[in-house]
Amino acid sequence: MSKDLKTILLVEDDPDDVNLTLRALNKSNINQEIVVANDGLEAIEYLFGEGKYADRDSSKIPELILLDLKLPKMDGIEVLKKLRSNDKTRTATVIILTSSKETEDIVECYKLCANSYIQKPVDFNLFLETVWILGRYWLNCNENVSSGG
Amino acid sequence: MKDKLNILILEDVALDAELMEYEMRREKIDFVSLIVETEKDFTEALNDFNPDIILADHSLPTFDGLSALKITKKLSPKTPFIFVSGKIGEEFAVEVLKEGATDYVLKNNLSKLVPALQRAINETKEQSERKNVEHALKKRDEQLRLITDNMLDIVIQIDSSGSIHYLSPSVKTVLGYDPDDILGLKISELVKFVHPNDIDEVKNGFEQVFSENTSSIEYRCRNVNNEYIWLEAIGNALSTNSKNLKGAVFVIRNINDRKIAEKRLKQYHDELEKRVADRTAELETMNKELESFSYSVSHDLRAPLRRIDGFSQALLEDYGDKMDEQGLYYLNRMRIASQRMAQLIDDLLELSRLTRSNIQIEDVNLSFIAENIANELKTSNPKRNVQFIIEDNVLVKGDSRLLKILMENLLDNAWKFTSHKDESIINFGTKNDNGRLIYFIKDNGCGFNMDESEKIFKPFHRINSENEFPGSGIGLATVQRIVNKHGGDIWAQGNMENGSIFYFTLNPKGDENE
Repeated sequence: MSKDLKTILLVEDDPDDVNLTLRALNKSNINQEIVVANDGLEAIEYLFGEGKYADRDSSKIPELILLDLKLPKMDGIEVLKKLRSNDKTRTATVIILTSSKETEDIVECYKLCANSYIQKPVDFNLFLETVWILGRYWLNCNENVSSGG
Repeated sequence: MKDKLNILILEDVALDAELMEYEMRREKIDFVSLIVETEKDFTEALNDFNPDIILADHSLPTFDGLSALKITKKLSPKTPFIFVSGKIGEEFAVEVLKEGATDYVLKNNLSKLVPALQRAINETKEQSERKNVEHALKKRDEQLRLITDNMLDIVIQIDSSGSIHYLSPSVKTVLGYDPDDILGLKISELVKFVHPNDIDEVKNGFEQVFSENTSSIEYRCRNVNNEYIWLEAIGNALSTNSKNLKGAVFVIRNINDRKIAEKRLKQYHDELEKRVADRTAELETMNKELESFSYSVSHDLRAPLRRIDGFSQALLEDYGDKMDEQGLYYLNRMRIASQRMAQLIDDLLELSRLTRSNIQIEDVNLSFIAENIANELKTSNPKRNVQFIIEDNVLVKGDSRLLKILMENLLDNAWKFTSHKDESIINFGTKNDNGRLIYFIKDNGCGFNMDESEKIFKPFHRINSENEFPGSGIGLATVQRIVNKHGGDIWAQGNMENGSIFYFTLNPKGDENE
């Protein structure tokens, strides 16, 4: 297993949120290719090379997975559970990016070894700042499994 | 017993009578004597003189000893009768003893008179004592019978073979059966009256009386109307000094009313428990619904706001140069409005979370919390001239996280509402009100109208305009929830332009001293 250093997977169903998140990523000078999955199932298909992503080389996993919790077909918690129970994706960097700040959700995500949990702030400038920090930290500062071996 | 013996002497020869008296005196018998010689005098003396003993000659001119004995046996059978005769044939002696004479003494051997007399008296005394004891026993027996016959409880006495020796008439009042119909039965035959489900209980109780000398059971028994009545039977074994059991006594009481009351009580209890369980389940469901509602609010209401703000920002950045100042102003107002809405949602969620959360009691230093908040407030706005007066070491028991939110809200309010003053004073302290400790936070800010002193604790209720003092109107509602969760009260005293005082008490469960 190795990480595809050129890709970020954004799992988000709302087109407005996709739009704004892409804008924020772009503004933060993050140049990786952004793949958008519109529901939990699509995210799984992409990561494991199934369905319409059957042609994809599933040995490569994205450098970063930005995962919303409230998703159609399969919710974020379920996606995380699947990733963590498969050797291929066990060590993927998963950042929960959601509106919810419910304690239950936070606890559940960390139990399932989410790398980080971020509540999207309403103020877009704050959101921008958050995405910028996120990019700097996870893409530039953090040593992850693929580059370490 | 009287001191002197009454001795009736039937004797026609005065010398003989004197000799007898002499002999008795010599032997220190204390007596009064009456000497008679005719049948008439003798019979009268039996009634009037009431002799303790009779000494009679064998033959008299007009009367004889044997006739006197017969009269005595008829009129006063208990009185000892001794023949004192000149000569007495063996046949005659046998005859008089057969007729009931106590003894006989020969006149030529009068030294035997006193021993015979004493023996006779003693025998009589013993007999009479035995009679007395028998009488007393009989009387006590009758009294006992009177008691058991009149008891409301049923009393049954059985012997070791299980035959019923006694059954009190109360069986008629308790169960309606005629005692005579049951008296002939064996105790084992009474099982037919016992409720099928209680038969084992009754059998065990019965055996226990003989194995452990006592037992107590409750069971249902069929009455004459074929209804089952709850009875309580207490059994006690009757035993002799040896180990041979003589039988047992059972006292049986009607406990039907008590049993019915107990049953009803249990029904009420069960019903109540079921209602509590139902209500708890209902509450749990409601809590679940509330949680999912909060979750939706948290997630779904925030998302559109975020988009409004995001696109407004995008518009500002990408097309800002194409808008005039008024356009830019409107856009900014939109962003402020959406952010304010987000704040309201957050505050409301916090309030709902508080309502749902359980409190954890620990020692909390309110003075310490107040100092920290005061320092933060001063740092956030160093230009303001605010004097904090905080009482030292105000120690309470409560949930530290919630009490911190409480103090934050009250001190933030005090800070906010004194912002128009050149010199502000904010005071946290305690006062003792008849043994009840009251905490207060006092400021010299703008105060409020006392007409509103209750409304200010309602969510979203606002006294001041948003422009003057910004806020969501949730703070005091939150404070009130926290105080209520700690079993306390909160109230406020306001004075327009002279500031306000918020008082609260805390009495978390499990702590009597607070």
